Amino acid sequence: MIDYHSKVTFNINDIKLSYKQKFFLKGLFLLKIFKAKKIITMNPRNPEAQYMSVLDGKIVQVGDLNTIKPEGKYELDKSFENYVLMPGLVEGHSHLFEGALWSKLYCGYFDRQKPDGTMSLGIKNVKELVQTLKHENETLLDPNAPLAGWGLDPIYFDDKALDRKILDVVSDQRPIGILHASGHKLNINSVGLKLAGFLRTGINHEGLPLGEDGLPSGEIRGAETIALVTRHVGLGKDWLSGDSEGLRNFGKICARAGVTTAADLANLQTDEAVEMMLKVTSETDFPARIVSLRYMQGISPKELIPKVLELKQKSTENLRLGAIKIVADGSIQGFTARLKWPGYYNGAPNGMWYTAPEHIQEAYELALENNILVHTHTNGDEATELALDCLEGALAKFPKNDHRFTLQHCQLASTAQFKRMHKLGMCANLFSNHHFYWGDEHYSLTVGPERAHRMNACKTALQEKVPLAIHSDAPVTPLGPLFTAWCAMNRLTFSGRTLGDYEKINKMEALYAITLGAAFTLKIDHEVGSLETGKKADCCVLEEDPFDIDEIKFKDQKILGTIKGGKPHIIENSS
Amino acid sequence: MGIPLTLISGYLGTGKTTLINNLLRTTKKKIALLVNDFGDVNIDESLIEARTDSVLSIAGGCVCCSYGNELIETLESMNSNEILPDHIVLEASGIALPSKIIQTISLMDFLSFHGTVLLTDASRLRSQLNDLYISDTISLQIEQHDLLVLNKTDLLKEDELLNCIDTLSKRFEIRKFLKTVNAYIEEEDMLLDFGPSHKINLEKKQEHGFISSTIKPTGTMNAEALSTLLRDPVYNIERAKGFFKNKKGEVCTIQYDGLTLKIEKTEKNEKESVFVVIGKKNFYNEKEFVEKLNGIQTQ
Repeated sequence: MIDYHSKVTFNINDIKLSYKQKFFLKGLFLLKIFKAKKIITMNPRNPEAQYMSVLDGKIVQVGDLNTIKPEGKYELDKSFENYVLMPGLVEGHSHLFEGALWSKLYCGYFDRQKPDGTMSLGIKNVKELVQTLKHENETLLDPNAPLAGWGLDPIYFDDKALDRKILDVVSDQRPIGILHASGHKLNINSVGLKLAGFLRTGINHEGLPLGEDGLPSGEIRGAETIALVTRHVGLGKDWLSGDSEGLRNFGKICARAGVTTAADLANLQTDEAVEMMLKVTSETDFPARIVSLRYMQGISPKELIPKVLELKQKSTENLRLGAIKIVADGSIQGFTARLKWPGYYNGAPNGMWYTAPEHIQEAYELALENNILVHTHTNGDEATELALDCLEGALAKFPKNDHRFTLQHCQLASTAQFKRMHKLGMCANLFSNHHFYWGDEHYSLTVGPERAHRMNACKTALQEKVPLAIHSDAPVTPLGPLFTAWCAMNRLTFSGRTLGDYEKINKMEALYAITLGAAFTLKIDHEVGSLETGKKADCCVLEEDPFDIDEIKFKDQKILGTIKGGKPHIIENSS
Repeated sequence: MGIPLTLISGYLGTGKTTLINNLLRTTKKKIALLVNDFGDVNIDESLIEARTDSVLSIAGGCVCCSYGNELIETLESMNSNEILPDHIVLEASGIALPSKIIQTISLMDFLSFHGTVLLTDASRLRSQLNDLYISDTISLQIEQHDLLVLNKTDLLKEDELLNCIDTLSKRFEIRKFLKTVNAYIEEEDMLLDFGPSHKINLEKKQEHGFISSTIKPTGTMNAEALSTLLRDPVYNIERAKGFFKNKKGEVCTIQYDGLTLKIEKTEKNEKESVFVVIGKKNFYNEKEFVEKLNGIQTQ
């Protein structure tokens, strides 16, 4: 028996006691039992219960009170007795700057919840955009400070096209810049253009289309060109990186979405950013665990591997590091994804590689050799094919079981490709939200009807035994696994068209994809994703039983918050 | 005119880094070398005067910067340096298209783009041009050269080499061509101002609402008559750039941005006159302009 009274501080994990022994150390290791209307465990051996006992942030048992209660003292928490608990949702593909975005004005078409729970109303036309900007213009005290916005989606506007003169109505004194939802376009006013040095004739650049007057119209296209103006309109690099307030906001967004683990899919992981993430995620009221993948960009695979191995050592319970993200191609709606024959439906030329095929191959080999997890962004089917070829080659050199290399988005994968993924041990994290936001465009413009029906083929993936997750890619679409599950079950577009009836998955399959499925792709399914002995006491708190809710209404169910490691994070003013 | 900039492009393994290492060892100029990452850049330690994470200062005034994810910032920093480099040599990543980078450069008025040196690996060119995944990237890169360098020719037998050159000349319109081993080319050939990259200006001309004509006058022209013609509002010409031969047969450069028009004699020894004229769609009267232009030529 240790003399625990003489210790002022200690880490309970350092003390080797059985949990039964711990119960007897009254007051120090008090077993907490949560009571709920229903606990959905996602553990088929013990699918539902009403009680869950928790110690040290982990689940001791789930069952009825009589079987799980200890002989000694315990604390019974009845605050969820009218609610349903399920495993904390796992967002398998998002980006932390979803949180940082909210320091700027939201200009999107759809209503979107802010981190504080209030609703930011969608902007439906140019008139509303101007009104919203004018209002913001008046609230900014410094007359020269930039006015920055994000999330703009003028493809939904039916009135005239946006140009700089419309934004000039708001202010001819301060620079204004609004990033589009896709992130691939930006609208700027004349002041902003002038600051960037582009308010002149004679410009011949595909990223700066000209207006009738021969001057740039104010629409800026392509990441490279956007990068030339962002710092003039308050959307510079400092805005998106190393922002601890942004990460705290991201945590709040997670709690509202019922998410207790979120993958941060492309982080350059500078020393400062890692320090900041370690600090914020360790704060007791930070409600989510983050799995951050190091983005392979501007660095060779050879140089990257030792860095990632070093980062892996820094992992904590709340921040998991040491995996790699590779981007193979671009986006389908941006016509930058690599498609197989016959290419784009509207005849646009094929996209370009974002990472050289040789570098993907080399990174795969080195990662297999060093036991590092790799997730690869492949939107087009040619990119998916390349990733499969590279992994096949790499595995021949470095045979390895259970590598769990995952294809992210993987939107256009064919049945044959899913079969190969299965053979090679790959997972798929499909972009189910895409159907709702861009499905109509995919049908009529980007890939045409047949491939639009096939996109994000969840059913085929499962039939071919490919471990499946589904995602939002927040902030590209809003973070919300229950909405993503709704998309995968219903496959409806914004206009109400059903795309790919055959590829719909059922409720249980969708719930699996946003819990254990996503956890599996991140190699953390032994820790989270289901509620069972030994796993983290991470829950999503729901008002109703999701199994009682009609599939078509699945996205509308009310989330009250989360429990992370046994600590509740209940959201205020939940709507 | 701005700091001269030469772009070194070419797929992975074509010899870009070797070429750059050669240049750094021998140059007398103050060159700023911009590389994607230091990776294989091989500089004699004794020549390195100072070093940070992203900048190596080399004896003789050269600097080598790794730009990683920050090409634009790195380029912009060139303008704010206390000592301006004589020349910037930018190494593109192996999959980058020169046209994309040149477009960005074109927006930075402190830079003067001299041309794209495009390296190819003679021993792998054939298989690369038939590769399932990269043939289009390789082709587009080659199309966008100003100087095409066929490297590693020593790895081919004579008939294979001839075959390779034959393939290149059949598939591509070659501007300037050199073959070499160990990525060696003379500094002055590499850093030459190749004049307007016509490929670049012609690209996607319709999408911009612009029409461009590439004009190759066969005879000589009166500089004044040409200048009057370009400025004539009837034709709505926005821009013109290139070179032609004046009455005396001297090669002249021409630059017109819609406001100022500059015609200057140049030392360059161009055999063929070529210039590009750009006008706004629906306004630029291409047909009539070309007719008038032919009228002022003397054979």
